[in-house]
Amino acid sequence: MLWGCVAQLAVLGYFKYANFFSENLRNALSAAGWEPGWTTLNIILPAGVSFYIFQAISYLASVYNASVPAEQSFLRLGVYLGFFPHLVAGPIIRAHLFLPQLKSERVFDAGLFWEGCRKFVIGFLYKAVFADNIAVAINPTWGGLEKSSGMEILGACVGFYGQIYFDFAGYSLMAIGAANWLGYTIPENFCFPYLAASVVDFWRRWHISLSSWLRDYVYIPLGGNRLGETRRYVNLAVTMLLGGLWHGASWNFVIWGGLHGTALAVNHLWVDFRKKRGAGMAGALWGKLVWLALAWVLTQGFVMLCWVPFRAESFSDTLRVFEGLGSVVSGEGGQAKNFPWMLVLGPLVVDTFVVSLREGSGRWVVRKPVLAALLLALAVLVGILFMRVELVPFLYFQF
Amino acid sequence: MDALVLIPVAALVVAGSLRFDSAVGLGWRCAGAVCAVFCLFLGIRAMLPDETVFFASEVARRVRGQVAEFKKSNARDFVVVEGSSVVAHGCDPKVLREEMAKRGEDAGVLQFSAQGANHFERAFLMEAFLRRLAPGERERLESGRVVVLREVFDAYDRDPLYLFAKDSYTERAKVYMSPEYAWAAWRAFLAGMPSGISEMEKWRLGLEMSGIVLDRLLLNRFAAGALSGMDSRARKRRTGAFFPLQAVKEKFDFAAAAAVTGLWKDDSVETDGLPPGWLAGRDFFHARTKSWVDEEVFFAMPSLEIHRRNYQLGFKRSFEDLMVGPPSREELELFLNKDYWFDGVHPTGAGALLFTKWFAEKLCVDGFAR
Repeated sequence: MLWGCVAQLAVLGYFKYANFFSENLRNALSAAGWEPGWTTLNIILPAGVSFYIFQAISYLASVYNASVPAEQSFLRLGVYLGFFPHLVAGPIIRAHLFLPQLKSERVFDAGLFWEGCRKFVIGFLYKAVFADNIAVAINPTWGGLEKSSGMEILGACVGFYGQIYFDFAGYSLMAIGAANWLGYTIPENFCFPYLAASVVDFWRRWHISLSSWLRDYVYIPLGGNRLGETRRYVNLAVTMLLGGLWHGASWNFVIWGGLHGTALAVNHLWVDFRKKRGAGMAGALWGKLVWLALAWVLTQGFVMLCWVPFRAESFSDTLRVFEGLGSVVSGEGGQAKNFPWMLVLGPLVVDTFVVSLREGSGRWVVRKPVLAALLLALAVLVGILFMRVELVPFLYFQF
Repeated sequence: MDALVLIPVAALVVAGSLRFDSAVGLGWRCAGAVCAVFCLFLGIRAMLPDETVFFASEVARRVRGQVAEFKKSNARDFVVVEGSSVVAHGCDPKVLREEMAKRGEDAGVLQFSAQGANHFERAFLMEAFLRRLAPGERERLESGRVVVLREVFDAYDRDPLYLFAKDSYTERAKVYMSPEYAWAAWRAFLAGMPSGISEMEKWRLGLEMSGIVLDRLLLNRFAAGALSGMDSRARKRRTGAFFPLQAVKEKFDFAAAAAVTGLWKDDSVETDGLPPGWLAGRDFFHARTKSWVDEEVFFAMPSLEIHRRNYQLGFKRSFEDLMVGPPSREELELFLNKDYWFDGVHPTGAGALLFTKWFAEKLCVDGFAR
């Protein structure tokens, strides 16, 4: 298994990271006064390579742990690795969840089909209406940070906080919906992450298939929390650093992963500290609510700030954004007259605080089949009317 | 950006409230309900004009701009200039009107031009303009004399859907691709297919363009992205028809382009007749504008590109008495200044002023503005 994983990672390493490491090594050697002769390679990145390599590792591990038998059909294995709805941007599907479905008899399930339609429509609204319209509104600011006021930069940060969620969650939902049409089920990849009031909770809700993959194949093999407190925090940081690097060969992603790793460690430390002091959730209701609100603001503020290096073109752009945000804090942020706050905040607030409640409760739910189909068709038409027609690529396609 | 965003937000809430957790009852009745909603939508859509549906589009803004120009004008007769980017950047309708007035021609000027606009889009601009006029205004327009001046430019004449497939024009291309326009444009495209290519290549090109036209037709019928700006105030915005260019296009070498003009021999230009694609499009144009256009005249703007000029000269042989330009070799000398050219066909703002004055003079001298 070890050699299989090494071979998989070598493929990923070559395609995604060869230039990154050779460039950094060259820069380091140049700084030391030695001019290496090599140049960067012209590598074309295969579509979805990060996703199917992780799936291949999951397969190897599952076979090694005997949770699935070794697949005898190359075709079935190929379908598992390259299943088209999720090929380019996930979710990352585990072998033990998908391979058995490929072997079972295919029976059309109308309920699953319509549920797939519903998921696809929500994903379509997320991506084509909200993410793409937000992208058009904020891209000029991200592309011209020098000319933008602090308030405009703040708007662009809030906008990207919404865009990346709607874009990626939208793709995942469409992938899950398309799989449902074909009679397959794929686990959820998002669960309203902007509802999270702690970084730990955020990672249970954001890109669930990646975070659980990292937990099972990086964090736990590193020792998890079995080797003492210090080692646990080191493991968390290393896991998240690798998670950041998985997104792309750039220091910005490493910084992003590092920040989240540190935050996770701090979050666990804080929980342990409170446990030791015996502080629980006892107390007045208003006190709990204030505490929860504070924790939510702190968590989501941190998540939003962490998206800055994720979106910025370069490290200097990242610094420029933080300068702009600093000017807002000091009251010198200027104005963002035409910034579409309603477009950016409206869908986010409603999705996080209204749709999430609907998804989790059985109240105010339409179950009459014809009425539900009719409303779904209306939602599609609204989506078509409000969608952006020009091509706005999925953000996660680059990974 | 306004409260329009609440509509898709409401759609999200609705979609989030639906449950299909049981297969019971999810049969043909549900599929029928979906089809009924789509048919009802398409029926309502068929009753709404394209410029009303796509009210925020560039095309609709330009139409509103010309309606405003018409309302401002007290003229009885009108000169209507239609064209592509060469006209949008090279002819200032305000200067044209003033120059004609100086020469005693008191006609109003309307201009329907846009970057990359083919003949069908220009016809759409004119038709939409007429639709936007109130009954009294329409009567005023139809009671006077209207001369339409149509640009002669080889790329759009030879290929009726020139630039249509290009991404940057996608947003605009869907606006006028109603079934009538899509059908006419597709037929003109097939008619205009180059004769020197193999049957196989013709099939390939035909299929490729069919897909693109069908794509735009569907976007048009479903009003895709009509409200994507989510800004209801956009329904009042308007745009003028003239956009002066500044500076020079990268890689354009004026000196080299101007030098070869001395070698041009206008007398020896050979013509292979009018392009079949253009002829097919012309019939459509006439059918869409006949209610208010009294006369059709052609014009050719100055160009530093020999193949474009040769086409203009060849075209002129078919419409000798109904065509203004291209400028003669002597007249062209007036334009040979690097400050006047953005590239080989598009003038700069300074060039546009000179071009428009020349154009006004020719119109008056030849009696077309009368």
